Amino acid sequence: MKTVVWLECVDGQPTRHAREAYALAVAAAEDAAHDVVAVQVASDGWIVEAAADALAQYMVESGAACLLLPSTVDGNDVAGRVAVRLSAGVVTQVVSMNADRSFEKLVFGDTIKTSVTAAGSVVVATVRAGVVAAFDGDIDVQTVVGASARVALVSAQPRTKSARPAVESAAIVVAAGRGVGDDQGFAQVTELADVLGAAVSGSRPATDAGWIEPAQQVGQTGKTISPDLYVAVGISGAIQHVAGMRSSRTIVAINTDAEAPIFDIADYGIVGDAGTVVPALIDAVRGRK
Amino acid sequence: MRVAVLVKQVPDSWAVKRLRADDVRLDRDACDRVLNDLDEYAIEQALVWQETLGAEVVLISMGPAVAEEALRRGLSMGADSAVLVSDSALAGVDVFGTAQVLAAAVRHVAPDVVLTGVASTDGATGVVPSMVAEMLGWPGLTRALSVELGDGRVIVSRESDYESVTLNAALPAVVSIADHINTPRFPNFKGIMAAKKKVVEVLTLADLGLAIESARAVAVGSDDVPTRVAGPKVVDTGGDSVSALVEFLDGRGLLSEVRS
Repeated sequence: MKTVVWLECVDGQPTRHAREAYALAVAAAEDAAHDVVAVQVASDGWIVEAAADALAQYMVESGAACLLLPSTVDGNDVAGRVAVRLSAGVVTQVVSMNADRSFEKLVFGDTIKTSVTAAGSVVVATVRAGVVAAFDGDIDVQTVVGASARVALVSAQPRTKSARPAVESAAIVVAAGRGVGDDQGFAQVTELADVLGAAVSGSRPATDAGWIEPAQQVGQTGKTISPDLYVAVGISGAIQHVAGMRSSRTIVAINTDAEAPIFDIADYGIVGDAGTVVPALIDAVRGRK
Repeated sequence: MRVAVLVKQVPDSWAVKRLRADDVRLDRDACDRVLNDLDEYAIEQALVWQETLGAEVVLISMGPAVAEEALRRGLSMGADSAVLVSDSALAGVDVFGTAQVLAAAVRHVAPDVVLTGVASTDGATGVVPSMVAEMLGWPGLTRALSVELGDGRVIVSRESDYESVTLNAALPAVVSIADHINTPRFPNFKGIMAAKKKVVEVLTLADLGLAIESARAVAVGSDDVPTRVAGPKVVDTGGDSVSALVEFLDGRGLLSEVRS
């Protein structure tokens, strides 16, 4: 059996998320008869169309039984397209993979874990970020070339490079919500993140306020993450947000409303104003011995 | 100009969801049903084109007969008509089958552009827009943060995990609309009354000339994830709560990366 992994790249380098997907495939390949092939896609067009085109062709030519992709915005789109081309089942956001190409995934805001098997000769699956350690060794990569036939790429701009860790791979994430109040309140949240060595994220109101980019948002329409520590500042805990962070190992919540649902899932809650608590917390973390 | 909007009836976001023990499918009867709120952004975009370009807005859904309620909600927002594909053979259909049905319904409606939400809030796979586009052989542009029509083309800007891109494609095309793009309107009384008279065309698989194959991806078992137990909840006065929190974080080894 052969598993193909799409190594999504930035500046020619495989992303951590892609190396995690590769690590998952390698771990599931229990004997020598099970090949894992890493494939990257070269294209000067839109990567989604190009990768779908090239990977579908590669899957057919190589007779592979499984395609894994990182569950990124682009990975998700490529997965759907390749599945149609191959008439394959598609499973999104898997957290584990077995040698028989069955998977586990969390559904309904991470409240239920399901086992999913695919009928048919090929299955396409996207791998959630942070479910395994990224593959650290050298990866032998095949490069295939794809074309973007139906969509013209007018312009592409890398997202502003941040010195902070990426939301999907950070050990600690500090997230801002409506209760942060204003730009000054958000600046304090970013300072707390920097003191903790954390990524900065937020709920939908943080995106609407322009504090974070949509790609940094956690929740139903953003990222689903499970860091070691998630600090929710001024976030009430709407289901749409909690869906993206419920599996965090430790959750700390700071909110003025003692009845906010975020406290129901928090390992430690502070009922108080972010404008007071956050600066005090920054000082206390800095001053700890 | 005809705009089709793909919509889904889903369990209320706040409802506790259960999978049935016998077939590992969502117990939809145990939940209140609503229009997928992420679809409302697509409906709103279509209604903007109805107002500015005179577009005809047709909603398309797949689901049991009761899904007509979700379509009525979209009609009360201002959509012109709706198509519901409803067939007992569709119970337990996977995303592949769903995309096949929706693609067939799109061919039936023959729109210039198809809009969707970015995902359903129940299945939450987000792959259906791309799959429908691929099945139709049309361009598929997902998670649009802005969308413009002109000269038979669509221009979309979107943000992936690593870059912002602007894309341009010929119509017909499928575009999924990000929830950051607009604020969906609330149906008013006039809209609700008008919606009662609007046509919902109900089609079976036979009407679409479609036969559904067995599901390609099947949930075969499930377990509840243990619910989280709330920890201490401390009321802060003037920042006096933080030292205990720092102790708690230190006790869990979470302050190893602290920078001064």
